[in-house]
Amino acid sequence: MKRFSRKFFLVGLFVWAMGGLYWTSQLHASHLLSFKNEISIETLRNHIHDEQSWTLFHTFAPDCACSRFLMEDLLSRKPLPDTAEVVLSLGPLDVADDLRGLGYQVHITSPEELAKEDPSLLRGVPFFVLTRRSGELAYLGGYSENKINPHTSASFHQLVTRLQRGEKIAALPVKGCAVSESYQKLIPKLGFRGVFQ
Amino acid sequence: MNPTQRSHYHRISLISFALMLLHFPVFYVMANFYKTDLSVALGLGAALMAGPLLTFAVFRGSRITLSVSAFTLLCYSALMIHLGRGMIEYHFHIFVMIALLALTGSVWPVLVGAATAAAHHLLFFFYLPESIFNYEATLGIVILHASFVVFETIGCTYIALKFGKVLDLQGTTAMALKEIIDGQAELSQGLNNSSSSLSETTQEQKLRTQQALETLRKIHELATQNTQQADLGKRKSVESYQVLSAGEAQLSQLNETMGELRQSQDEIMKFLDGANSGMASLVQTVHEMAKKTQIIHDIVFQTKLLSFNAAVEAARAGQEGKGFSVVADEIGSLARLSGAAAKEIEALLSQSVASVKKLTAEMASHTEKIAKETSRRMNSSLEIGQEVVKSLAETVGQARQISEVMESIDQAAKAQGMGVNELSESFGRLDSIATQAGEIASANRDQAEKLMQETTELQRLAGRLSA
Repeated sequence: MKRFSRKFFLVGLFVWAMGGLYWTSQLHASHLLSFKNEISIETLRNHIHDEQSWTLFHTFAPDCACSRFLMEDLLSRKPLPDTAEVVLSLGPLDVADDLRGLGYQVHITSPEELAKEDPSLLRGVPFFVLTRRSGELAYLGGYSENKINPHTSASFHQLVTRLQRGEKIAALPVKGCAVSESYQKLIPKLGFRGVFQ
Repeated sequence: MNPTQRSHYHRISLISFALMLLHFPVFYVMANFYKTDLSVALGLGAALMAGPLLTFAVFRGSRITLSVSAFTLLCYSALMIHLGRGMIEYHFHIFVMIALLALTGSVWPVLVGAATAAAHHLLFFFYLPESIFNYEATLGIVILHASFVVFETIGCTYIALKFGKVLDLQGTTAMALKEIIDGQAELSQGLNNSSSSLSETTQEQKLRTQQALETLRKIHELATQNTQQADLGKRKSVESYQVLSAGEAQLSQLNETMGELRQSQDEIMKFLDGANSGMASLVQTVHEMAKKTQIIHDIVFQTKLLSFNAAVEAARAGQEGKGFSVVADEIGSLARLSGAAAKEIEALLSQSVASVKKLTAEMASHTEKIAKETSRRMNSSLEIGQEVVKSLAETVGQARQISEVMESIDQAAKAQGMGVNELSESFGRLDSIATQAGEIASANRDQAEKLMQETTELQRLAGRLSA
């Protein structure tokens, strides 16, 4: 009986370990997931307010924590000099008026609207797009090498400055929250949906 | 598995639980700071901790608990990376945990920890390759990435293996040392007890020796008194013997005197017999005298006849014869006188004879009686004297024996006194030895106590060694 109980316990322990491994693996890995957004610059141009300045598009999801960190950065300052900063929110944004009050342009949109050709090409947020005065794409990618967190949220300022100076910088990975249906379907299988929102 | 290893595994298990618990406030802070899900952090953290706790309840102090704890800690690494929003800095938690797992002293927790980290990465490499790196990494990149963990794991495994061997050696040494220390403790305890007992016994012995010395002193005094008394008794017995010997001599002399008296009595009896004979002769003589008195009477009668004849003749001679007649008359008167005297003599003689006879008879009777009585008393005296002499002789013999005994007693008392002296000296030496033994016992006890202290210290060290 005791031997049976121990055997039963070991089986239970194995199941517990597999479950723990499964869930923690998802948590571990999901933050390193890099989204490759392939949206059209033309779509973005619809949101350009001032064609004579650099335009910086911040693409956020209201429930995405990474987006919230970046929004806090925006709320803590005003738009960069000679730069029109546009916030494209993939859903209603509670701080939209505050942002507007600071000089930001806020557009509530959706993945379908943002990636009209193929919404699946918009895979994750946050990412930013920098276009020159001429409307050329200067940058499309993530804000940081890592997932956005309080330590990395403001590091993109230098990146923007360098880009405005004319430097060519490789796009950083987009790490954050899944947006596309494919990832939306995949990620809930990987982990807790709410974690990524 | 020796007790030291078991104890170490047990303690490390508890430390790992403490370490897990310490993660919770960190998770809490991180979840709030990085705006990640607090319920996941705490809920999943608690669920992950349940495994080690249950395993600990079932396999207390075993490698299994440590291995399960290692799994949980590496899962905590994943949880921490998640809560830190994938910051690369939190990946160091994996390396720190694997390194810490080397402290378990068992290779299994290290391997389980490394395997858990590898499983995390491999699972996602095959499921979602781009989730691991910023780009779609190849298997080679994954292997390169994992190689650092592998190298750390190899190093930590080596350390754990060595540490495990050290623990094993430590446990074996501690057990052997414990046996030695226990033996030493028992020995020192026994030595201490023996020393205490010896000390107490020595004290008791010393006390007894002193009491014995006191008793011996009294015995010595008594022996001295005995010696003096024995000496006095000996002298008295000698004196008694001498007195008795003198008395015996005097009694012998008395006996001799009695014998002489007996002889004298015999002589007296002979003399009395002689006297009786003399008296008989006297009576005979008196008888003879009485007979002679008859002769006188005859002479007187003849004389008277002669005087009468002379007076007749003087009367016939007339004038001339007158003178003669006177003479005749005178002769007749003398004859009458002689006759009267002879009668008186005869009477006297008769009376004398009677008296003598009576006297002789009485004397003979008394003499015989006295002689017999004297003889009887003399015999009795002699017998008594002989008995007395005999008794005295025996008494003297006994007195001599007493004297000899007293001499022996005196010598024995003196020997006893000497023996008591020697015994006192021996007891004095014994007392000295007891004192030395007491000092040695005290020193032994001090040494035993010191040994016990050292043993306690050793036990403490062994406890630390086995801890």
